[in-house]
Amino acid sequence: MKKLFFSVLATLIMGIGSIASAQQLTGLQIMKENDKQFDFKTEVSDMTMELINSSNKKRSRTVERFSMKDDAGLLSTLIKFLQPADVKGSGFLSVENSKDDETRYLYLPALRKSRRISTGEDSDSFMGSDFTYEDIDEMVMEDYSFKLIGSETINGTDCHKVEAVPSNEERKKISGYSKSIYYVSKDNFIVNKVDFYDKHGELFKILKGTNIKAVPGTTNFYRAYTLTMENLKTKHKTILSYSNIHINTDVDEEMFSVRMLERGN
Amino acid sequence: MKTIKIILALFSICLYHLAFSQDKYSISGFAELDHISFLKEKDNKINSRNQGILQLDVASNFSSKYSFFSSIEFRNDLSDETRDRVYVDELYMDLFFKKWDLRVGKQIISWGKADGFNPMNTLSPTDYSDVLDTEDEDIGIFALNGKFYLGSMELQLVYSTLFTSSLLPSGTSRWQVGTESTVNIQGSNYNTIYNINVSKPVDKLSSSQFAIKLSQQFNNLDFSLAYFNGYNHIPQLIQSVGTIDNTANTAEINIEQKYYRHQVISGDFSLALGKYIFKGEGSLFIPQDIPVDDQYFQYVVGLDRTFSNVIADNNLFVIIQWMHEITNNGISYAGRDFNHLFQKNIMCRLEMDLSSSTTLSLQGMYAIEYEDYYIRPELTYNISDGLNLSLLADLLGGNDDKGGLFSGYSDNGRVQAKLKYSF
Repeated sequence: MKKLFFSVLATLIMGIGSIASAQQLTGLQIMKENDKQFDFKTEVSDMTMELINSSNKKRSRTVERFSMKDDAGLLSTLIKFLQPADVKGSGFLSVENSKDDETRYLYLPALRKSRRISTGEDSDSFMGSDFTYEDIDEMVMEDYSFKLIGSETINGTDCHKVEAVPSNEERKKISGYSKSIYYVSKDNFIVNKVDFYDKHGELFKILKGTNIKAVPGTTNFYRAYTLTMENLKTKHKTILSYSNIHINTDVDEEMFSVRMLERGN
Repeated sequence: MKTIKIILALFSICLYHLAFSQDKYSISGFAELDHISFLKEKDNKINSRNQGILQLDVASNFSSKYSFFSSIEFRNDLSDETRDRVYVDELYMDLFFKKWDLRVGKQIISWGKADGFNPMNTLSPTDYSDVLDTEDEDIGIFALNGKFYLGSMELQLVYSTLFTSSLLPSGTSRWQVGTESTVNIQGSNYNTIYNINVSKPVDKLSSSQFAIKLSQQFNNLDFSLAYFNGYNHIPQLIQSVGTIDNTANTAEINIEQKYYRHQVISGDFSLALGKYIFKGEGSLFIPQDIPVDDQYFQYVVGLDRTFSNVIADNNLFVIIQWMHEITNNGISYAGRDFNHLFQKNIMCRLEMDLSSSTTLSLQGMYAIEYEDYYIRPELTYNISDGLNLSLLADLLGGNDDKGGLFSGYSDNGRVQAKLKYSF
C-alpha cells in the first residue's frame, strides 16, 4: 500500500501561503500545491473506519497508524487494529521498495505469525472499505493530465473544478476510474469533494472531506479529519474519522518491521 | 483440582491489579458456544455434542521494556467429559532489548508458512481430542525463546526442558483408533486383551529440547532454515504379543505409545509474484531410538491469491496446496498414522465475501494414494462487531479399501453451529 491515505488527503489539503493567486494557476499547479502537504518525515494517527451498507448496518474498525518516509521519499506504514475485539491485535505492514514495488505483511494473533500478502491491484478495496488502494495512494502527477474546467460552490465554499484523467496507457489500464473531478477551494486550495467516474464514464463514487484543520504542533500541515466515501451503485458508504494526528514526531525506524508488527498493542 | 485452584488464584491476582490500574492491563478473549451433530449414529460413541468455551487473555502494557501475557481457557463439553478442561494456554513474560527479545514461560510457538498443515511446526503440540476442530487448539510449551535481530535477518533460539505431548482422542471419542477383538497367532484365533503403556520422556535435563531458526527477508522473498532436536508430540505405536492363555483363549497385546526423540531439519519460503504468493515448507524427520521408523521428508507447496472488487463485497481468496511425504527405502506408513496423515494430498480453499457481513468458505482435500476426501463448507455471518455465527459441515468419504484417514472416518461426517463473541 503505497502512500497510505495520502492521495485522498492530498486532494483535500493545501499548503497555506505557498501559492500564487488562483487566477495564475493551472489544474496541475493546484494539485501540486496539495502535494507539499505530504513532505513529512513521520506521521502518526488514530483512525476509526465506519462501514455502512445499503441497509444502514454499521461496522467499525479502529486502528492506529504509523508512517515514515525515507530520504528517497519511499513510505513505510504500520497499522495496528484496536477494535473490534475479533480483529484486535491484528496488524498490517507495508514497506515501499520503489515507487512500483512494496512488501506487505499481515499479522493475525490467532496464527501467531506474520503472513506475506500480495500487493494486489490499485482498484482493490482497502481493508474492505469503499476506498481502493488507488484512492489512498499518493497520486503520481505524471500519470494524469489535469484540466481546470470551471467553478462550483461546495458546502458554501467557492471551488475550482479540476478534472484528472489518466494520461498514459499503463495508468489507464490499472486505474479503476476513467476520470475524477476535484473540487478545490479557491480560498485555501483544500479539496472539498471528489467525483469518481467508472470505466464507462458513469459517476459512481463521491468523496467528501470535512473537519479540515491544522495539525496541532505544526504551522504548515493541514489534514481533513473526516473523509466520507459513498458508492452510488451499491449504496455502501465508508467514513474515516481521524484523531491524534502528529506529524514529524519521533518514530523509530524499527517500528516498520515484522518484529514490531508482531508485538502486542 | 489443585491446578484449577492455582489458576483461579493467579487470575484473581490479575483481576485485583486490573481494578487499580486498568490502563496498564487489558482483558480480552472470547466466549464460544457450539453444537455438533454427527450424521451417522454409533453405539457407545458420542453422537452429538454441546460445548462452551471461555477464553480470557490478560495482557500488560505498562512498560516498553517488558510485558506479561496470560491466556486461560475454560472448556465444558456436556457430552464428552474427557474434553472438559481449565487450561493455561499461555503464561509468559517478554523482555525487550534493542536488538533482541526474550520470551520466558508457557507459550505457543508456531513455525511454517503453509496453510493448515505445517511440517515445520515441530515445537508446539496440538489438542487432537476433536480431530476436526484443531483451530486455535495449539498447546503451549514451557520454553526460553530468544529472537535476535540483525537488519532483515532474525535468529531464533528455543530451549525447553519439559516435554508436552499432543492430546489424542479418548476412548469414547469417535476418533479413537479401533482395536480388534480377536487376533490370529500362528493359525489360532484368540480374544485380545490390550495393555497400553504410555512411554513419555522423563522430566530431567537429558530430555531437554532445543531449536534454532534463521530467517531472512528480502523485498519479495522470505525464507528460513531451522533445526529441532526434541520429541515428537504424537507417539509411535509399538505393538507386541504378550502372554497367551490357551485355557481362556486370550492373548495379551501390548501397545507401547512411545514419544520418541527426533531431529528435524526444516526450511520454508514465501515469494511474492505480483498478485500471487508462492510458498512452501519442508522438513526432514530423523527419528531416534525407535525400531520401526526411519527418516522421512514432508513438504507442502502452494499458491494463494486474493481477487477483490471495489467495495470488497465479493472478495475471493484462493489457496491451493500440494502436500507430499517421501519415505526412506520405500517404507509405507498407514494412512491413519497421525504422524503420516498427508502422504499425497491436494488441498484447496476458497473464501468469498458474499456481502460486508457474510462469508462463504469451502475447503477440500483429496488424498490421491488413498482415494478419499474431506470437504468443509462454512457460512459465517457477522451479527455485529465481535459477534459471529458460523454454520459448517464436515464431510468425509472415499474408498475404504485403501485404508485412508477420511474414508476410515466416513461415519464421522457432521454439522456444526458455532456462536462466537469476542471481547
